[in-house]
Amino acid sequence: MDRWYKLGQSAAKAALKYRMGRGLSPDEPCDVFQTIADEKIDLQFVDIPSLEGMFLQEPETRRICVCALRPWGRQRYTAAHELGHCILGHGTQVDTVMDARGQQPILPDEEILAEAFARFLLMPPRAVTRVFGRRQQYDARSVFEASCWLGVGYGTLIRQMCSSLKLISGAEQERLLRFKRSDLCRSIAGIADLQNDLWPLDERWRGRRVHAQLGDVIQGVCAKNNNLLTAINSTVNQVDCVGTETADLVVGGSVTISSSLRSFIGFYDYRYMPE
Amino acid sequence: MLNMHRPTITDMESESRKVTAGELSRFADLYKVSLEWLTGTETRNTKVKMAARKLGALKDRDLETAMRIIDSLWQRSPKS
Repeated sequence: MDRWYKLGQSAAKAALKYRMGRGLSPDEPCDVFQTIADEKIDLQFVDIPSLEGMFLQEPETRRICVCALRPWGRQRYTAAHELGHCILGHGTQVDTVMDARGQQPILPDEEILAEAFARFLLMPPRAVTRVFGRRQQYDARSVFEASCWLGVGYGTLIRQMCSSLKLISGAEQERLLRFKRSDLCRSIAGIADLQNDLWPLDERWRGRRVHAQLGDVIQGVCAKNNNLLTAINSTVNQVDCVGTETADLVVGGSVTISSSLRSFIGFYDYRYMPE
Repeated sequence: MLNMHRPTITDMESESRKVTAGELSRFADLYKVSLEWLTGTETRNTKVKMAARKLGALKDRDLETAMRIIDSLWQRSPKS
């Protein structure tokens, strides 16, 4: 436990320092795909089911590979984990799918460090506190919306709020984890059987970018004058085309929407290029 | 992206037109692979072998795909 704590603390510091070095405010989300591209690291989405991700380093090139078959939040988390290996100087690392039998694996230091780096890069304390505003009310809907804004999965944010940030108790964590995604989607967008991702956009999204996939549902923007979206109703839209465009937020201001094929395989550089 | 007409690519694919060194280099950049990998002339280096040891947990078919990606990296020209 002590080993995990010490390594976690050191990686958390490294992640916060890295954010500062990139001029990223501690209360803003991190667009990890773009961060990797800005670092001039090749980012490749691969079709390798038993691989989670890998960081490859050769004298003249660096590459991060992420399994494209995982949910989007997990892809971003894996990308952040692999970026951690790069920034912390671990050299080439291959991460296979975690032990699904529920056993705590004996992880090498590099893995514990990269995990903590990813958590604090994507979910630093100030960003998590800010996203809930003054009320600091942790109901399932608020947590779901916050997880979309931060670019992580719902369960990942809940675990960070409990284990690392101590914002909620273990009992609260269990209560929040019991909510079903379908129930949350119904209460937010009024869609019960949504198969793809839901993006509930509000004023926090002004000037930001959504990394969506075909079939995703975006709530809180106007589809008018936007070639990527088809309106389901006045505020709920479906992503129907590949590309990048800005869209007007219902609350005012605009957001950039980048949409790709579902489970896109290939390099990030080409992810949002229409066929 | 390649500044080539579609028939040119078709001719290359059907081997009715040879690929110039410059074109080959542009393909390597586009696909982010080494020229050696593209022409099938490279052999695996030590680092690739080191990475391969960590790939033991992958399924056979996945291992093959991962190795192809690792191989393609070797001696790639630096990014501008």
